Amino acid sequence: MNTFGIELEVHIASLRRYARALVRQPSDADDLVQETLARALSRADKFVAGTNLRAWLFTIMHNLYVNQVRSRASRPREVPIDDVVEARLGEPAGQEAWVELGEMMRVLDALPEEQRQVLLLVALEGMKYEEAAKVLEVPVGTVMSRLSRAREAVRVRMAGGVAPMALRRVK
Amino acid sequence: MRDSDLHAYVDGQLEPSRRVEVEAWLAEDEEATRRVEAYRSQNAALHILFDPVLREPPCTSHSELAEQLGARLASLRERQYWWLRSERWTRPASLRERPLWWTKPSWQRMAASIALVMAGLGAGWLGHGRMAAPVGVPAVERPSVLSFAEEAAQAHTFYAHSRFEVEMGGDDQEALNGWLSERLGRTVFAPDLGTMGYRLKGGRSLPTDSGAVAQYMYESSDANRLTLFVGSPHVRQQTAFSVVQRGDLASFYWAEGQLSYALVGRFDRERLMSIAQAVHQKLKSGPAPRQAKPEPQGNPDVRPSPNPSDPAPQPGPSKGGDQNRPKSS
Repeated sequence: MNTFGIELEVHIASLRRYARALVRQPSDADDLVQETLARALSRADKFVAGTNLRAWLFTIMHNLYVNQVRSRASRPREVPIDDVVEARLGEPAGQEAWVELGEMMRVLDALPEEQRQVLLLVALEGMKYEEAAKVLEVPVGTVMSRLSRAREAVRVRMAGGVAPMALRRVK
Repeated sequence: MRDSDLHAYVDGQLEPSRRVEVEAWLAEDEEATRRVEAYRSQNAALHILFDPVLREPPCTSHSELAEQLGARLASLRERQYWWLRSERWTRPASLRERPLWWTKPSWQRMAASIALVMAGLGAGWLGHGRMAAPVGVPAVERPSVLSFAEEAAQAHTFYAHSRFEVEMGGDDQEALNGWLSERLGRTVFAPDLGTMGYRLKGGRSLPTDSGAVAQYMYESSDANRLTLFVGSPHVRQQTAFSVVQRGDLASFYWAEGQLSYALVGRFDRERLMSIAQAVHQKLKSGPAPRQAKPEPQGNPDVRPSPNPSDPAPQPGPSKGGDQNRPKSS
């Protein structure tokens, strides 16, 4: 029981989600989160009280991930995309949605690493542009241009199949 | 209309006024509307794909690390507080680049920080008895110079029960404020705490390492004493709200503009919160109407008896040396 308990719980859930989107393999993703927390613990004295804890944790995770990617020279893609998509569709959402999601996953994976990270931080994690810039340690302008390129790339590729996207879960 | 506006619109990161403009533009531009639709679909797809992770039961190893991390951060926050306070006195210039907890004062932040620090008392190093026995704390954690809040607490403990509780009575508030303003070299005034049930008894000036400070003393009808410690540390434009509670003595510290304040008294958290809030508001809104034009220089004729030309007067007619010896109960 401590002051940061609830806040950390929330951040860890987001870290897991982001990690899963990045590395896909659940156990690898959880390992990445664990490493992130371990490093955060060892560097806790670097955290300035009152500043953005989420951004700090994501920055640590980002750096760990970048190093991982570098050392493996390529992104791990061990999990078949269809498995992930199937697992995500507990309730049958219809063939169309299944196709869309599978396609979305493929397109996401095909994005350059930098664009993928920005898209995930903004569109999935709901970060403000400034916060994403902080996490990725790039200027806000860079975040905007990467975001723009990522979204356009996804849009163009998705448009090749079914028109824009059949998903209408969000207004 | 810029591309970034479109994204900010999709991500809900536009100012309301700009949002209206973007919507007007979208009504005219089919291509832009299609892009917005597509981007929104992308967002939705990402959530459908990955949000289920949020609902998975937490990992045991994560929870354990999180627990340790939380405790560590809470403990460091306590230490950071004291460390900053001590640096403020010893190396103020270096402090300017050092980020503080908060950069802007507001009551919400004050309240939030109280809640956090209070909660931190259980898990932080304050909970390990170091506050109660500061002598044994290592040099890094133990400020070489008493922090403002601690100094205020000591002064409170000493004077609230002294025969010489005030140097100058509070009957003539303008004279008291004028005299203390002159001592500090800045305009200070005693906020009216009548609504909180406290009456101004008077004040005194005390010498500290950062120059003279003013101590205003208040008393409630049931003889509960409350002191407001006001000083002007060298560092400007920094604000930190902190609270230190030792036994039933609570010291609440904050800085605003060029002045730092510490409110000290024997009350519980709720009482401290409400009083601190009242003081904060009174200070912000300025002196009471009848003192609308406080005259910092004061009138030479109303200077109190203690030798006013002495730049660092010994506080009180006697026992001046005792002020550094806390008599905490």
